[in-house]
Amino acid sequence: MPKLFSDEWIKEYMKAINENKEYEEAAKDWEGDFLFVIEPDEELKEPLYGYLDLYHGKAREGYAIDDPSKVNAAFEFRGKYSNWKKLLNGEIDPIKGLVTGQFKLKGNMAKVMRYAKAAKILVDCVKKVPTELP
Amino acid sequence: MWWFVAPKIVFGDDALESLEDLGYKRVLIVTDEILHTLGYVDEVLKYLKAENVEIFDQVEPEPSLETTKKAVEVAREFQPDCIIAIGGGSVMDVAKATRILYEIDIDPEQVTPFVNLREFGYQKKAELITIPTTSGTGSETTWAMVITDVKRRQKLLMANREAVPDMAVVDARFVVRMPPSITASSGMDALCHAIEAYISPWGNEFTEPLALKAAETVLANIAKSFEGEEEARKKMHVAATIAGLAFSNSQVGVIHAMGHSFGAVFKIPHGIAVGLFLPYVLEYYLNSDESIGKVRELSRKLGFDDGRGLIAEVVNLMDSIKLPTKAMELINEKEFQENLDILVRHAMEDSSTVTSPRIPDEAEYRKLFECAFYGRRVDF
Repeated sequence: MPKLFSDEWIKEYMKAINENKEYEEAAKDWEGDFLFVIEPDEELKEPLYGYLDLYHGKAREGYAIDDPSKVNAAFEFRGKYSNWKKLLNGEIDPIKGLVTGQFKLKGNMAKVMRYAKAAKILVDCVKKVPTELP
Repeated sequence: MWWFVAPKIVFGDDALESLEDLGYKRVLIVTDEILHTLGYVDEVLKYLKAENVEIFDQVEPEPSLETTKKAVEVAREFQPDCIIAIGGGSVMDVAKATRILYEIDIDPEQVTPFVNLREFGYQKKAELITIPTTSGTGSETTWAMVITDVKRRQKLLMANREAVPDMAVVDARFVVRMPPSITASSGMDALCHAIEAYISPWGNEFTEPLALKAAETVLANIAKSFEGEEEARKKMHVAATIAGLAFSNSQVGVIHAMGHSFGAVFKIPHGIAVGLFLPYVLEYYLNSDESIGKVRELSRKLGFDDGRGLIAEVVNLMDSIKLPTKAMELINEKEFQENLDILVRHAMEDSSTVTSPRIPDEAEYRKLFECAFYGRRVDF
């Protein structure tokens, strides 16, 4: 199983997104790339970073990165490792997680609100990726 | 993790008297011209002891961004320590937005639930008191502000915890003489809030009893209230606030997503727009295993055998209070067909869509709008 936020894991995740017709429809006009950040806590010593470029209902590029300053993504979605685990297990709704502050989002908030359905599907796609946790 | 956020609520006969002891120095009253002319502001001023009072009475139904900006200019000039909203949902939404935008320069569209306004310098310079003069919107308790972007013919759904008023004064003296048509449409809005709050996937232990109580009270009193019965109007006034508490802490769904879209495109009052879609969306929910459970549960708690019984009751009530049950009673077919694409797109982009027990895709939204226009059964 690929490790969470490894290159291999992100490729598998992109495959799951690109095979999802519901996502393709919900995000057909979406343009915007994401930097995902897993912040360290008791169970994770170093932060993990992933980059994903989402464009018109497809994931067109994605990879793991070690230095977040190398990318200038339109959106940044970050949260503690313990909350990421809950998100991946379906225990936290992504939108609810943002409202409660368990996750933080930088970027055009209004745009994300309009594509909330697509955001939910993106999280559902994660569940289809076999994942080894750090 | 989740919250229950609510203002202090003063309710019942003479609730307005609670304004006597507040001690604000500079109060900005936000209202509309009609209510000002009818003496509603004077009624509040009888109790309010403030050194300086400024009145902004330019709020229109389904208020625009431009009007909100005018109110913000007045607030920035006047520097209130309290804003009092006297009116229906439109007035209260403008007042909530004004309190935030008076302090910080932020694109109104960026005022979402995800933003910590304190990071933008928001310090709550003014307290906010809401005095509802209709019984339906629930805005006196909620974090949402619905402002229309006229150019885009779209409703901006601003929402943030900082927008929740500090105090709501729920005094029925303002609604006992309300016109029957407003009683009907605002009451249907309250019913939609209660039902959507109960069946929302974000519903919780705090919101469910409130939603149920509000739904029971509205179903029992809306027709009597429409006929002008004073006691029923008092009950509806409190029920609308209870429904507001429920949905503000659990969210609404497809009924409101379609109502927002339809209302903005065709300039239909909010209560009429959401009421129109209520039976169709309930039927849509009943057709899927993912959403039938909560609708059936609510229906049984309300005394119906199943969800179909609740839908039949809703349609009967709408007939009795003279509300349209299909969109073709409001607009013609050509207008509808010409705008169907935009109706669907706005509903899909509405943030209420994602907090629904069953989320329609584009094709389903299209069919739902068509069913509601022609008055067809929802069989999908």
